[in-house]
Amino acid sequence: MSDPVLNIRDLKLAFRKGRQVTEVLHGISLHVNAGEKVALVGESGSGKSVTAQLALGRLQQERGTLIEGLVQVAGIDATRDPRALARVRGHRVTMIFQDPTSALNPVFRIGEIFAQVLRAGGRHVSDAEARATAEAALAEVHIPDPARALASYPFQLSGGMNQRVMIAMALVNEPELLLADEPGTALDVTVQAQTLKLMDEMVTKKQAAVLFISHNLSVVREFADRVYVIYRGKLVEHGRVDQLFGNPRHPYTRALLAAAPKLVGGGLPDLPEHEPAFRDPLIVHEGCGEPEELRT
Amino acid sequence: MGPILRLLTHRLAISLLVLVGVSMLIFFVARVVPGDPARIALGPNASQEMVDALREARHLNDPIIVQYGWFLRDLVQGDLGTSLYTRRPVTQDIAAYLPATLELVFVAGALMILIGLPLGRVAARYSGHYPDHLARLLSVLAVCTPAFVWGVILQLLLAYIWPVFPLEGRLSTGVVAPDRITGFYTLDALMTGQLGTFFDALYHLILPATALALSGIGQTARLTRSSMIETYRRPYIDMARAYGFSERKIARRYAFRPALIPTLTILGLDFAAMLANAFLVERVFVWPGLSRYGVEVILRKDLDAIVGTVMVIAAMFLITNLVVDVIVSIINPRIRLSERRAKS
Amino acid sequence: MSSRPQSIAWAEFRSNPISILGLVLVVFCVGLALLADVITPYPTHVGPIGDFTAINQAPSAAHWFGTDTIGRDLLTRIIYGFRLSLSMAAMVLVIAMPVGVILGLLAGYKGGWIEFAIMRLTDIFLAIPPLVLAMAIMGFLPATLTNAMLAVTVMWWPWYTRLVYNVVRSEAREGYVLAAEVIGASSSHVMFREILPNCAPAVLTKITLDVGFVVLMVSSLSFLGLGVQPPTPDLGSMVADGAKYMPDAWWLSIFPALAIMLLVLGFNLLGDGLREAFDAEV
Repeated sequence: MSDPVLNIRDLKLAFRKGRQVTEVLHGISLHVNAGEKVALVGESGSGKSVTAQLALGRLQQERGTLIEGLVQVAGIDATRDPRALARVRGHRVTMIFQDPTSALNPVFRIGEIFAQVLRAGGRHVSDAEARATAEAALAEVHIPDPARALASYPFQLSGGMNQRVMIAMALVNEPELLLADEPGTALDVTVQAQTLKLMDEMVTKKQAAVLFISHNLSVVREFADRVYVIYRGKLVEHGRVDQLFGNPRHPYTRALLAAAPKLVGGGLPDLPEHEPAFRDPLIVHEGCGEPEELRT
Repeated sequence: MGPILRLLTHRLAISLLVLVGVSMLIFFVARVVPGDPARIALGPNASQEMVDALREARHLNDPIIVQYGWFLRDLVQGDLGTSLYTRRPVTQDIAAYLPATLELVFVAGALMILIGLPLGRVAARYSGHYPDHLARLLSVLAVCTPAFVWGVILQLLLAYIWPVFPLEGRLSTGVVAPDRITGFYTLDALMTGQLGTFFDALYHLILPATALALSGIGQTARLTRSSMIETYRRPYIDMARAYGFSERKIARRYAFRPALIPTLTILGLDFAAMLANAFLVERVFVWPGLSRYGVEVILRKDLDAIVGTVMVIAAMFLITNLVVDVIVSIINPRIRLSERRAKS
Repeated sequence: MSSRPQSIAWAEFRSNPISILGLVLVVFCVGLALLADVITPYPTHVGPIGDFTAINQAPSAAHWFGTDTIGRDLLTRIIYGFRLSLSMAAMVLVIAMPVGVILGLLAGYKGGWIEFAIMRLTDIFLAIPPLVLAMAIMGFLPATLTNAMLAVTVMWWPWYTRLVYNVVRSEAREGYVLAAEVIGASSSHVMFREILPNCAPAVLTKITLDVGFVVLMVSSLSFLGLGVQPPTPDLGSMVADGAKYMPDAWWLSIFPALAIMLLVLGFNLLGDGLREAFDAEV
């Protein structure tokens, strides 16, 4: 087994504002192996999105951020060497966003943004080459008229179309790791399902590993190999999809599963901090322990 | 170019309507005020016959609506009446004084853009840090200080105490004005190949243009800053960073272009405000522009000349806003393309 | 538009040192203006008569800001200049603000031809640079203090009309307005009791900023010789008169110039602070 493309060890994260320090991650450990599809599931505010931000190296340079522990991305120590990480952002590590339309700059054509992505990935391409590459990439994500899409502005395309564009951009530089932060949550359900199917197809084809961040367990079931459940900045359960869905052991996971179909409006039961389950150590299902070479 | 042309004609029509409104406003204000305009114009020593003759010639005995009709007819024919002070057609007077003012305003406008925009960009980039505080303080100071105060301060510091710049006027004594082509000394000098005159004219422009530009620079920097900061919060900037676009590229292009759209509109207003503030600066630097004429005719109660001057300034004000609208629609694809969609 | 509860707004305001500086400057300037009779060293120098034994003196212990060409103490005249500028600004806003606010309420809430008439009139006024319009009005009237105030007032109301109009347009769709209409409240009740209080933060912020800008406008007019006439101590005309004696008697125009700067700066910082504290669009 090769090194994991994302390796997080005992990560603690706190924000300081004035004299007040708020810890949002209380020591989490997770890993994503090459080509593997891993989901991180929790409700909003549980710390799942900041984990993705850390993996991209985006929080490290902010003021008032206190980080402890290890975040290793594609072999780079993201905490000690954010500059090295910055150099691989956009080609070895990429990201897909919640709302594709707002993630694309409204005053540039898709083609211009695509060319930027290619160049930021370290490719020295002419405009014509960039266009050819982009057209091929858009054809791969089944966009009917790539040339026309490239000449369009984001607001001229539908949300689903923009999501396809986003996926094409995320994978065009053949990344090792793709971070997907609630992809398509802003879109309607059918489009979202299509998007996920397309993403599944594309990452398998490109052999990229994925860290899929979601609040929706049922979405994760279709997509991921392994799942981490995060609650209030702490991982509470970890297992393969079949294990976790077949035998959810943590009360929070069970609550998530029960709430899944009506998640749009309904809330989750609030687990009181003094409930024993919250203080329990992370529940790890069989065969989902840490990779051998990391156990030291 | 189709949709932009459509936008242009649409805005032009609105501007013309507003201009007609302005003409009514200023015309009626001029007629409503107490006192006989003819008597005021001719002075207390004129005989009653002279006053009556002038009243007749100027249609002052007609009802005010009819008077406005006469005024409008002349206006359409490009006739703004005759100045009682210079005894020349008002249009001719304005044509003589306007270029000096416009040259000053254009140079100040260029300074406003060339200094204000980058300053705001730097402030946004270092938001909350030392350069930001400095830029904010400078821009608040610049906005709060009337142009004539800047004029007086700059004159004292850079023309009297440390005389690096000329004190006043458009050219040094002994330098002959270039042949009139545009009325802009700098341009005319360049076109006629008189480099020495060009530099002398430019040299004279620096202090007044700076005094005129400072408040606009501050305003522009402030707006660019807040607009950039707003833009930096948008998801597409997160996207740009996640995809490794360099911060430089983001600041110069990717965040700058969308941030420019709201800034530009205000920039247009600031530019137009300079037309008014030029009056103050011209006074400080004895600049032979529209201000000298405007203040003179106001002090002499020269009605036609006052109305004419205001009309010309309002027209330039509207033209500026028109140009800005067109530029914004070119930069903002949303406006440009929605126009196209509306047509098809 | 969003506006915050007062307690939060005050906390926000207090935490910003720049806003506090603005408040201090405003209190300082207003205090000087109010106490002018008591604290000025030479209160008699307000008028045309000075001390002929002490003309054109550079700043000294006896005359902090020097004296002018007829021996009047500049500090005294500047403090009275504050009083004049501030009272003129107050007068202008006391008239222009209610007129503008009521027209804006009417245009925004009534709609139809009322809206059309008021807003097109506003467009016309806003199409002429304020200073130029005020100058033109001064061109038709004798240059006196009252007329200068009148001229500035005439061009000032449209800004309030447009501001309130925009607020009303966004508020009219809010639930509380609909609720009041459904239970049959009269339109004047809806306008003045329901909508108007929600315009207050924006209007208050604008007033604060405007005190500075009216001072600027009035002093600009008198700088051009179209406003307040001597011997009334006006900051703008003091700068203009002093400029004739540059650079030898530099204090004659520099100190009044700096005084204008200080006054406008104070109201601007305070207004900015209020804008941020109320989260108001002005």
